[in-house]
Amino acid sequence: MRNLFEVWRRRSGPQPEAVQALHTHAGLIITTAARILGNMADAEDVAQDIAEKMLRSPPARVGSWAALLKASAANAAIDRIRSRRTEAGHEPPEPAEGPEQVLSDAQRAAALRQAVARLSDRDALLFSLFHFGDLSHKAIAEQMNMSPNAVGVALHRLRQRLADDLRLRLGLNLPGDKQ
Amino acid sequence: MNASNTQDDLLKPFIDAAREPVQRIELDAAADRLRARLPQPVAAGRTWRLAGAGALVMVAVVLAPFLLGDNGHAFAAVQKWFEDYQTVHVSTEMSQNGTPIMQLQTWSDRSGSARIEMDAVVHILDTETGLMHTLLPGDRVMSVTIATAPVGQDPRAALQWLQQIRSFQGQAEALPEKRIINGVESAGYRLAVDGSEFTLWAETRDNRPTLIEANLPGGLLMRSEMVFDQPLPEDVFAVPPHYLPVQED
Repeated sequence: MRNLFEVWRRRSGPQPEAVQALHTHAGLIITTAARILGNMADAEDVAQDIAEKMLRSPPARVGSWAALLKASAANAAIDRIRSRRTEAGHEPPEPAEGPEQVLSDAQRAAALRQAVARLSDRDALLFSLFHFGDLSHKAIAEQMNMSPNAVGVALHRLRQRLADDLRLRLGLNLPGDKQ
Repeated sequence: MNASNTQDDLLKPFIDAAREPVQRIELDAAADRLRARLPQPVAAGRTWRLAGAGALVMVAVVLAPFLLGDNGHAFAAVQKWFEDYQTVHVSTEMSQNGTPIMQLQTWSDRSGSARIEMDAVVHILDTETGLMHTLLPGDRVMSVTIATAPVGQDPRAALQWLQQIRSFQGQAEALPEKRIINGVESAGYRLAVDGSEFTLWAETRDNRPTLIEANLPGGLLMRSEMVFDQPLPEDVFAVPPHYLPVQED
């Protein structure tokens, strides 16, 4: 395991704000990454990478460290999930050919993660920051240089797209549809 | 039921399933593992304790005449340096259990104005304005009146040490051995104050104090080198004009 303390010491000067923020928000980083990736080992790797990057090149003038670190975690996790085809042990279900299948939570989670990974970088980040990072429209707007209203509109459209994607791929019926 | 609601209803169980991939206990353990691999943060309270330690060095310097009197002619000459200095620069290293934890740079003049640099954070005590400025990363400055600094953040907390030192009843012990410091033979003087042991070294050729070493509570070791009466850096007590003021959290 890389020693973050050594990374920090090799720098020309330590950054107390970055160190403090990483300690304070360690749980948020890992939670966000774990929700996107679906397993703790990968989430810890992502968190480690983020910490190393922040200590090596700490950003200046950070408005919200929590939002910044969540966005970093989401970005890194999305990259990682795209680099693998399926989650070990949690294969997305195959499209149903007959009556609507009953999905386990693990299958639902895996299917959604794969669907998010198929979105564009920006859309995947937007969806992840709201649904996995628990950021407000305003906080997302600040991170992504958008207006809060635009965030709301984009999220609404994204949810529709993802629902359509999952329904078609998995052969699901919309709630309220006649069987 | 409109189309939008039904889409959300379809998506919701997928989102709920993805949001709970791990148990809370796993998450806490993973966060703790990450924190263990990070440098230790300088919490606000600890920052100020260390600032106090830096100021303590200054207090120790200023109070040395009170501490070290009645130890012979050689010591009277050492006292003179503390009484007559115009400027002093103190470089302090703090360590705990053999691990360096903080470096402090302190500049002061005889008016009492001081600049204390702790890693990337700078504190300036301006006796002319009565303000204490804290320069933060990102070109921001937080300013408070020294007299109304919040509890625990008052640099005058160092005065607790002043009181302890003033109440010191013992005498400095002249050490029998000499030491070579920066290539110069130096004499040592030791005193104990409320559980902390200070050793002051001064050059034997002109009695100029150059080094204080201290064992502080909590296993902290402090080593401070000092230089008297050298010109201070320009604007050492000034807040850079481009710094933006911020309020304390």
